[in-house]
Amino acid sequence: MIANSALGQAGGKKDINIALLGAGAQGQVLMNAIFKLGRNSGIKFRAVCDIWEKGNLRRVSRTLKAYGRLGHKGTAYVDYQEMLEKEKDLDAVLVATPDFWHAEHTIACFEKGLHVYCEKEMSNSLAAAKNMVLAGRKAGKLLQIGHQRRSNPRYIYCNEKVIKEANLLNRITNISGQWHRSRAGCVDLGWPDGTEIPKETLKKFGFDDMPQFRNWRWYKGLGGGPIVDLGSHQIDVYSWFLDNALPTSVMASGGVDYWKDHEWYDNAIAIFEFPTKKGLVRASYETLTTNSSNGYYELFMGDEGTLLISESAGRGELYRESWVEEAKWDPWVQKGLINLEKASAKAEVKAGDDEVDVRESATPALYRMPIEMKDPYHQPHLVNFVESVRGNQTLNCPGEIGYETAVMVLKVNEAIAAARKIELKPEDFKV
Amino acid sequence: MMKPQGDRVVDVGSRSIADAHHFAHEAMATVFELYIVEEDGDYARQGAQAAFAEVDRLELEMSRFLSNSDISRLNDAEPGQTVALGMDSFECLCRAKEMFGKTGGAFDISIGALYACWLHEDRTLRQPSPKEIQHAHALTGLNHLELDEEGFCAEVLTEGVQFDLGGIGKGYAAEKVAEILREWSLGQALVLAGASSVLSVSVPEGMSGWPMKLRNPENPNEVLARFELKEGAVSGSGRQKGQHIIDPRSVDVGPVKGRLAAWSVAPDAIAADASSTAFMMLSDEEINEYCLANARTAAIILPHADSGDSSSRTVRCFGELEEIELEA
Repeated sequence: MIANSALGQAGGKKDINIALLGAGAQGQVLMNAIFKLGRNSGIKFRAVCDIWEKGNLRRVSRTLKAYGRLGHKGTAYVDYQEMLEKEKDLDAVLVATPDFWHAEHTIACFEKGLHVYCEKEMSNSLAAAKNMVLAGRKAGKLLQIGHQRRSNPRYIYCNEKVIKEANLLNRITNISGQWHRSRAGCVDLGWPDGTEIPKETLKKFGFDDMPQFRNWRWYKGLGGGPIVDLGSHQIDVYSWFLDNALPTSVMASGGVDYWKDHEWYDNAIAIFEFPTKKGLVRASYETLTTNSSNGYYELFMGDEGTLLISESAGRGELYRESWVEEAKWDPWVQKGLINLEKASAKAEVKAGDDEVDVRESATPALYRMPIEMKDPYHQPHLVNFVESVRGNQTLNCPGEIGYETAVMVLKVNEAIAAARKIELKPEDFKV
Repeated sequence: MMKPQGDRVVDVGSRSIADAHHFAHEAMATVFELYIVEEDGDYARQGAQAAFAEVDRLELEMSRFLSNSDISRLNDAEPGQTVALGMDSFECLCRAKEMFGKTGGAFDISIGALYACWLHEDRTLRQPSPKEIQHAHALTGLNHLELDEEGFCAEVLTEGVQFDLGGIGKGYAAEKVAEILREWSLGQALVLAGASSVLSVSVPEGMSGWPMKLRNPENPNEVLARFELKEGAVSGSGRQKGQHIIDPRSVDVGPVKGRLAAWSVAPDAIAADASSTAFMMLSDEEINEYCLANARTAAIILPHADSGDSSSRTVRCFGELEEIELEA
């Protein structure tokens, strides 16, 4: 892996000029997270590019104009090549276009000597994803992939303190996770009348028509479906919390079972096998687009404890297995590493009693982590990127890590299509 | 601030409104509803979906229950610390400050300390010490909030002041929904932000207005007034049994009996949302002055049975209310 700090520029609060390439919902989230760093962030927008001139582009350039008082500028472009040609003072680009454009956009930025923050999935093609990493190395520029949980202080805390330092789960044997979305949250997106992208522009940028442009995530060759859109973030955490372990196999089931006119699977269930130093970890993951029950979370199960974590604000729980003595976890409570919220309620025989005190069902002891996510979503990951560009930090999710995750999730779609277990070798994850 | 769910201000039983497409979405601890008159139902649904996505986005920005929302970041800030806000939270705080001024401090998004002082956790009344009251008052009022229009940022001037956009955020969201519906050329629409705030984006062709019905919250069968909402918004505040209202305007006031319910008609949903809360505690004279000072504004007040401010349960109206028909 590249030592990112070696590529960064001289330390200090150098002004970083950026452009937003792809101004849809996700691009707007990134932009707003940067605005919320305030006037002294040293990050300045110079330009925005989106092919939807009367939609995304108009909305974002209007917002950037309003933020002009803070030194931002939003020169609007439909064609990214024109933007990269004309904007001479850029340092970095935020790429938030549809997945099938990521590689071309990222590589074009590298060729102009710019650093890139690219949204996940880094590409819908592993060959293209590999080229992104190689192009970054060749240019000597940074590539951060938008798996933002890797910079989320709550996730970092769980990984470094709960799992590693205190080893409260002991041997992790299983992981499960899910992202369930309601039917209402998955209805095809439309567009306001009169804002259509001209046909020739759509064609030039790889779309058949407006419905496909608005719902590219569902189309083969453009996106990867919910396993990629949602699952990727969480499957990335599976590997990360296992010390960046890589799976040796994946099996999966899924299909276009509910939605009409969609090409990608509207539900997917996958099982990975991760060999680790402590033993094998079997990890399942499920994504649905018809029912939102239980939302989204990742659940790490060890033989001594269970960690439930979710990016959804405030959702984080830690349970001690009832056979593990409370005294074993107490020192960590005393140190303030975890808080005991609810002690275990057990049926118990007290000394001198000859009868069991039968009460409600025994419940495991509940603990919580004394840390909250207080920054806007994505902001810590963007800050990590910018500080790495300045030479003050190293990337939390460089292209090489993004590639490993891309292999894991894109292989799920492959396993569904092949209807068999796919074996994975260490070299499959190497760029 | 207190907007009981059952306290609907709109009645949608008439035939003309029944022709509109209806969409509903849970957000901001309530249900947002849209009535849209449009030939193409699929198109209306997609527009509604875009509007609801905007409400969800605003909730992430403005909810005090989310640790990383703008409002939580503001509530966590140390005095003197500048908090950079999103445009929406900033704009909403500006409007909250404006409404604080216009209502003489009766509408106040920093009232949390006073409620914590006067009420137990189960919302029953407690008797705080004069020192506690003094302390809570010292943490109340929008003079503790500095807004910097040049930088979209805010500064809390006093440690411990807490803000809650609950009394204005839904009105703000309704206005943003209307903006999106206009972008979609779906202006013949009615926006309900939790049934207690209703905004007419515009009146559909062939209708003279959106039919509104105001009911007695204590006796839902009793209709107090009917009218047609043509433009602007109407918002209702009510008090359910056992609920208390704290008047933040003076240390001496404390819990007030106030009104059983108050409705406000205003040019926009933000003003309607905020002023209906204020009308629960402003005096008749103050409400009258408010309505005279603000164009296209009206108030409908239902006094509390034992409030002492009226011997009868007569509904009282203020402001421009020509279209409002009070029930006998």
